[in-house]
Amino acid sequence: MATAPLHPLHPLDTLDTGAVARALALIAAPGDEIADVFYERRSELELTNDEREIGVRRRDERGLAARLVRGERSWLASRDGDSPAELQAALRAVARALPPALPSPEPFAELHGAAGADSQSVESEMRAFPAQLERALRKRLVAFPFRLTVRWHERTSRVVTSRTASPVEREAFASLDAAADWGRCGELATRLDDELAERFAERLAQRFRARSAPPPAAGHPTLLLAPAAAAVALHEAVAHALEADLLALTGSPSAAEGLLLGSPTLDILDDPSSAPDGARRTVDDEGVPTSRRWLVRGGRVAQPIADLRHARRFGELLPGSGFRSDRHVEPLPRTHHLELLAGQASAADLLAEAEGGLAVAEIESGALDVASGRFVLVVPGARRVSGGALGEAVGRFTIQGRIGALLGGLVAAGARREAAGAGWCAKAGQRRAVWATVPALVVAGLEIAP
Amino acid sequence: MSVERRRQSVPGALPALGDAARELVARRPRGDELELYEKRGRSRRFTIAPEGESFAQATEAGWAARGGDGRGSYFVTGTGGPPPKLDAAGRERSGAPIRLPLPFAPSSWTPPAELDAPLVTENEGFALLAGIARELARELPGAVARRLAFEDGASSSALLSSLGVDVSSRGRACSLRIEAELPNAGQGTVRVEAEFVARTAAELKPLGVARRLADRLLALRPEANAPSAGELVLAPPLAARLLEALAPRLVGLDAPAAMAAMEETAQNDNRDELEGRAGSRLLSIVDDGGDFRGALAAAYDGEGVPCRPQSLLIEGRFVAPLLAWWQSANPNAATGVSLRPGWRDLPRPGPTQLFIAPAPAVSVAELVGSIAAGAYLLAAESGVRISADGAGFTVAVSGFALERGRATGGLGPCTLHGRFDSLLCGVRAVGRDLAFVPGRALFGSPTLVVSGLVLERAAG
Repeated sequence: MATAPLHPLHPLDTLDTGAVARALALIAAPGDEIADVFYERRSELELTNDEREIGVRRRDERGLAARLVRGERSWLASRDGDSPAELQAALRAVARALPPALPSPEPFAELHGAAGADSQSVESEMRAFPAQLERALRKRLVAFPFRLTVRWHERTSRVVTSRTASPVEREAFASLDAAADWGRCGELATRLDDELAERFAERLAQRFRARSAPPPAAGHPTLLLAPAAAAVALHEAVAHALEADLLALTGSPSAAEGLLLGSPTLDILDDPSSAPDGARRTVDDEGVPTSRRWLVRGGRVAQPIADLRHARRFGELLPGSGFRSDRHVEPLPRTHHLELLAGQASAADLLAEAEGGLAVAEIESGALDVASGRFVLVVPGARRVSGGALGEAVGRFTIQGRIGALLGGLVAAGARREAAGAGWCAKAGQRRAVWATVPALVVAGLEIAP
Repeated sequence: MSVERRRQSVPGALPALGDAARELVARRPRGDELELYEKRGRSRRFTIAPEGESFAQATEAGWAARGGDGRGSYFVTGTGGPPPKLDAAGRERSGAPIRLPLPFAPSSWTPPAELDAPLVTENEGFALLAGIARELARELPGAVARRLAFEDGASSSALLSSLGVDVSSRGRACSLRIEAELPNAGQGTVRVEAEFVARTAAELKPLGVARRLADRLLALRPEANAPSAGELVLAPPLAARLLEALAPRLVGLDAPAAMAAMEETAQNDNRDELEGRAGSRLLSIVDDGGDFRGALAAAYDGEGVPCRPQSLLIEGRFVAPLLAWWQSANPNAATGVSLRPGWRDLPRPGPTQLFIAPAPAVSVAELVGSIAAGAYLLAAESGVRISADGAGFTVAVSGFALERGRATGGLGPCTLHGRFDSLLCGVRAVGRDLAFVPGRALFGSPTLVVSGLVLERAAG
């Protein structure tokens, strides 16, 4: 069942972009300055199965942010409102020399009642989901108390510069959060349907069965990373490591280009325009068209992830990956949808390659230490690979290493890719949903520790 | 019950929620209760980083409605002021019955004068950061502040409920975050990340901040061995982080059981002198969301309950858990502990400003001078990791070796580990220099002298 948006017709479509652009032209000098206005509307609907907690939670907000970037200095003014008066106030706050008068756009033509039936459709799917999940768990013969929170997130945004106005971008997706005595489990998805219930139930059941398993001994076992786990590993180890602002801490990001990281068959991309429907982006949060960005091509670093500011600072970078968690913060170079091209290994091949190692279905959290380049991934539990099949469960452990160790240790990639949420990324405290389409991977040589 | 006009307002706070809001509350469905909350805030954020300088000004304004009846509840928020009516939200409800507090006696809280201080200007904010970078380079040649971020903010909120709560409050706080590094004589670089919180920028002196950074950077250069025995002096930034890690055992309905288990462990470890206490007689722990010494001091909490001191540990004896009014056996005697960071957030039980009570007569110099052999630990250099059973902790620390009350050299990267019951029982002295660190709430401590914890040079 497709999930319809809460607000199918949106007032941002009717924005008087000409007036906004004319106002921006008055505060930005022609040339290299960046001047833009970011309009944002967000909705979130949250339900929980916990009868002890407050019931329906609904958050709706709108606002804008004006920005001016001049050389290596930037000014941002954000407001919780998007009226012409709020725009004027924001533009005046960032303007370095104030013109006598700023053009004012027409107020939005609000589309009352547009949410109607579609909004009810989302709500009814959300209300039905806990029962779907319960049924899927019962099929797996497990039962345990847990608190389930189901959220539906929508964000509509539009960026106007002195020369261009981006199309309206809409993101709409669900997030799940299950909290039990033995741990937490989360998932992002663009549809709330039976397939998601089955997938999430399988993860919960595996976590539940492995809850008391002892952790594996420290060592360097071969790891079979399921697509969901590979997505998190690649996000932490590759995507963050190739973000222009983090590369700039140790020199020019362009210097990383050509660096050999893996075998000549290794290709990794970041392509927001091919993200799952509901997370797809044609422009970034700076209004720059997104592109199919080859992060690693033929095993070598190709094109670091960059926003406008870093692309201008380091001339050879390509913008189009400037994303922000909300209007109150500046865009940063960030991955949106990571892709690893499929390999040729079947499921049986992957198990054979990982014989004697550990099969990791999911990674709970991850972090990259920018200073050392070392990543740490927290694994809530895994299964031993024995005799070409999944064997006994092991408990919580960490995987540690560097980007070279992960990519250089790649033994095999699965032939089948899966598109899924890679989780909530909190780079610089800015929380954003990130996505990935990757196959399962077999990696040798990474360090694990209980 | 009708809305009474018994407004309890802090001077300068948001004006009372207007007639439209009162009308909305008055016209709620029969049998419903409704609370309206409005918050406005302004903040200015300054960053100096390798990629350049940025100045961000945010103006935030939003409202929240929390309501329902005996069968269910709802929570709705939006930007701007409260709407004239609640559309769909007023019809949908689920989960727990609505639970709102009754009005409390007015707070006698007087707002500190700094609440009226204007936010720093663009020039002042960048001058503060540049001044810290300059003073650090002067104090410790070779040291560099890589990334400096300062945020100054003020907020005002108003709350009105169908049960008669009608209060307003104000807040004023600023925070400073710095990443600094120092070359380490051919062994790479030592790095620290420091956070400071204050009510206004005037409390953050560039030289004082720079000296604290310089001390931590120097301490991470290994010059002395970690003492295998002896007493440890824990500076406020470290002691406060350990209190933050301990906090879950002091909060909520499960706290008495958690503390009883800790007391039992302590008694079993031959600490007969404890006489039923959970910790040293020198140790008292308080939560007080209204205490002026904390930058988040406010008259009322996020549900309109007056903030007052709540003692949790008195002279080592656990006396009460920290409970929200709705968890308390006597709601009318409850103190305000509900956090509501923004208008988007539901109130949730604190702590608000949790701290170890200082000993006004004891100076830090006295405490350090009293140590024959030990270490002076300055700060937590990592998050505090809790053991699987919840009883133990490990944290990376920086500090100096102490001999006869004098620092003899940096310890290099070290880890401090032990059990929470050992920490509580091992407090040998408490100083007067209460300071707070930011976290989920504010956590504060003066300098402590402790024994019974283990300090080791970090591997690698």
